[in-house]
Amino acid sequence: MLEAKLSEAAILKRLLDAVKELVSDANFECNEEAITLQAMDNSHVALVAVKLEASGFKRYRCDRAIPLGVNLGSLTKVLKCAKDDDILTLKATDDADILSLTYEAKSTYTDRIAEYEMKLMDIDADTLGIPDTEYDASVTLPSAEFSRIVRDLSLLGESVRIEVSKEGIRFVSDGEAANGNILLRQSAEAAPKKGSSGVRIEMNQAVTLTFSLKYLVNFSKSSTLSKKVQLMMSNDVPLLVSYEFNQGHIRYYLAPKIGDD
Amino acid sequence: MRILSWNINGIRTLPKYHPWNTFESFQRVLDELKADVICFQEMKSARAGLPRDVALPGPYHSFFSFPVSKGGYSGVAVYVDSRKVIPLKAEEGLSGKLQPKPPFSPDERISLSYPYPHEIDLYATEDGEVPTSFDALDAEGRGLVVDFGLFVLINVYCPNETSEARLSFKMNYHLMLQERVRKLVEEEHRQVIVVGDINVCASPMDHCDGHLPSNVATFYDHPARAWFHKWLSPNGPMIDIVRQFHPDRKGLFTCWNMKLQARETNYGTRVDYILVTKGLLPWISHGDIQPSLKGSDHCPIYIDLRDEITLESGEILSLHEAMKQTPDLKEPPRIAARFWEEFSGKQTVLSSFFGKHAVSKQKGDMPPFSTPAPTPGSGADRATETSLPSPDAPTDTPVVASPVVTQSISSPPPPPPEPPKKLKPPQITRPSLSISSTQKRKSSENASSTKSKKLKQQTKGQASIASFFGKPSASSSSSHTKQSPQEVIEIEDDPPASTSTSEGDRDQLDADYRLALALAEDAHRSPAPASSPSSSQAQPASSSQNQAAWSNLFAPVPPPKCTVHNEPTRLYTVNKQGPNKGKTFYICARPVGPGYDKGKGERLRDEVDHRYRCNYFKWASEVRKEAMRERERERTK
Repeated sequence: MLEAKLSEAAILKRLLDAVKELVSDANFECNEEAITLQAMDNSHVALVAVKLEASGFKRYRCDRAIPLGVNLGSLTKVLKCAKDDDILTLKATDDADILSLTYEAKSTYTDRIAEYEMKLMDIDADTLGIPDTEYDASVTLPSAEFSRIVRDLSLLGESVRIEVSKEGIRFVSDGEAANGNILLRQSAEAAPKKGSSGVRIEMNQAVTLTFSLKYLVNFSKSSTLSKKVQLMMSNDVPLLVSYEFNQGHIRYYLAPKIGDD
Repeated sequence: MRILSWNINGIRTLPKYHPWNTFESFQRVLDELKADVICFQEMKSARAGLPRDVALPGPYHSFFSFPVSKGGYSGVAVYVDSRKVIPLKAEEGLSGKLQPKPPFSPDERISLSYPYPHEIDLYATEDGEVPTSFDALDAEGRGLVVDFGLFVLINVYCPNETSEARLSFKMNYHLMLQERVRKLVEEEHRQVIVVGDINVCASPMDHCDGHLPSNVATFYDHPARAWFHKWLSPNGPMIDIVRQFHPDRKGLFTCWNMKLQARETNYGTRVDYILVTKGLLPWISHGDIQPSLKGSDHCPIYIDLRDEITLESGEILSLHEAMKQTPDLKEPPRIAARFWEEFSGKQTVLSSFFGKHAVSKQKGDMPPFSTPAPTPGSGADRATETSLPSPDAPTDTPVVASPVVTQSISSPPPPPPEPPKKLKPPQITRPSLSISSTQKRKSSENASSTKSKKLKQQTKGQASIASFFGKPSASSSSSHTKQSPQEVIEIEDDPPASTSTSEGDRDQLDADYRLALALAEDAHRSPAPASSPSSSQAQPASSSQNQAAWSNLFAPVPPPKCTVHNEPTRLYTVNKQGPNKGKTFYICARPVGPGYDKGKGERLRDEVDHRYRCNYFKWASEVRKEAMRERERERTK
């Protein structure tokens, strides 16, 4: 059986907000160490991988690995019933046909305990083996900055060309009517310190890749989870967009677009 | 070479029907049709919602026209087997106004001149104005024009007259089609094949009720029929080629009303046609309908073209040559789906990076072909169907046989009687796309768990009256006439329930019916339910008697008999929106057929044929009430 207690329901709510745009159903794989989710969108262009570490939970117990097949739309509805600061407990038995969610209010005024149950389903999903990749370029930037860039450029065109060079990281979009480009330079004093909020670029060689903006806009919804986002790129390899937070991470992989020029 | 036309009534629903559901990709569906040029109408999809394997089915070049604004309706497609023939040019719409980006160059256009609205007498639309452009007519994804050199193929889905207001639209579409063909024939001296759903019956013979005297007299009164009659040979240029091969065949129908189960008795109409101009006649060897192919409310129609003909001069001309299939012709015209931005290969897919082996493009996104068959049929049965060698594509069949057939045999779909699992959307059963597919959930333990889900679901929702009576009350009911006073009190609680049933409260009825079943079942299993203490005192005989009385009281009402045939009627549910939605009613169970009784308003009395469905109608609630009254009377006797 699974029993996992999260100190804040908000984490799961925010995770879902980003994932449900890409896939409608997915398996939460639960085992002793973590709850993970891997799902690919219908067009097989984007993949999302979520990991919630056991250590990130207030309490975590999972005797035996079980997959929880979840309709993300339904789960979103059930999670809407939770307040952000509620203590959330997930429970499922080994036969895994029901997921129960308990919300305990933290407030001192009310002692509310809400219990919800949702039906699970059987999902035949293929798990892709994601190879360990050495990326040529890694850019860490404030997640709000990334959200803004992709949102702005998505107004102009369908795709964005991301160029990482010594100069910095440049986002270029050519639309039918207008075009634009945004350059982020490495923050001067931020470079040595890992924890700072500036733009940090590590690079072995220059990289230029083109991606569909609508996916990036979807990914950027995860900026509520983390102040920073890391973009990892190598030429002709899918982009990795990674948000790390206290309990785990959410990572997106996006296949590049080719051709044009 | 075969040209086939089929109104498929939805590209998403077709693969759910047998035998199409046994094929793992859309290409196999096309292969099974065994035609080289396949024209579909009523795709009922939109470009964005088109699965990759439907858009680009292997060796077939594909052309689509979808409605400009809202999708999921209308839409036509032409698939051309590139192994056999490659079209020279293709255009969307009939007016020549629908252009790709960038617009066609003059070389890419099929015609030099296109119809002009002011050159033909168009009907005034609802608001009383004569349209000054064809934009509206071409905006619904109803036409594709493909140039094959020897002839111009026009695939159309002509508008249906769904309401009075659409009549002008329908007629204007016909007139535009006619003008387009006229220009091609008269001004450019081309041969033309018009295929598709014209939505008009050509002659009384093409209508199931056409032979009835009242219809014969007024058959051509409808402007669309009059127009079609004039356009067809001998009055006009177009030859209805399928009819020409079967001039006297009755029941040559291509479309049936599925709500009436009219296909059983072939109570249909012929609204799908292949029309050719005279010059093509020497080429055409055969034409027919394929009513045995299911999956739509229409059936496919086709013509076969000869591979070569002998000209009057004695010279032999091959079809290949006549269709101008030069060796340097490799690419399809520009509007082919393979040149669409989303399929042009600019966007890569993840599986090509992460998979152990790259997956071919067409496998990218499969529609749910693996959904269980709605029709009963054994796995072996199906396997033979799949492995039928297709003479047209001998190279591919062995390859098909291995993965497809083994798959369908090794994992036969669940037997039809098993209810579908509620929450499981079919899209999820995707053929294993790539790598380590985790199959662990398909175990048998899983099947039992889904069963338990079902059970739990049934007990939820509206509480059934049965749960209030339960086992003890079954015994209390046994005291119906003469028992201890203590139990009589319980009975006094009963009457309100039974009166409410006679008032026909539907929910209540359902619950009561379930109780009756439960009781009947109990009575069957153990005449005296030993579970309750009171029943041990009750006499077994009287208890079973009373249970019989109860189950009689709550037993389902047998369907009433229709007045004409005196046969049990059939129960239907209203699906149409409105105050009656969800209500049930009984009508005659016989199938429809020529002259079946549609009612006094729609069918002359002397034309009614009582071998077919009669005009019986009764709401189920009324039937129920009557039956209750009847039983009440019997009980009080």
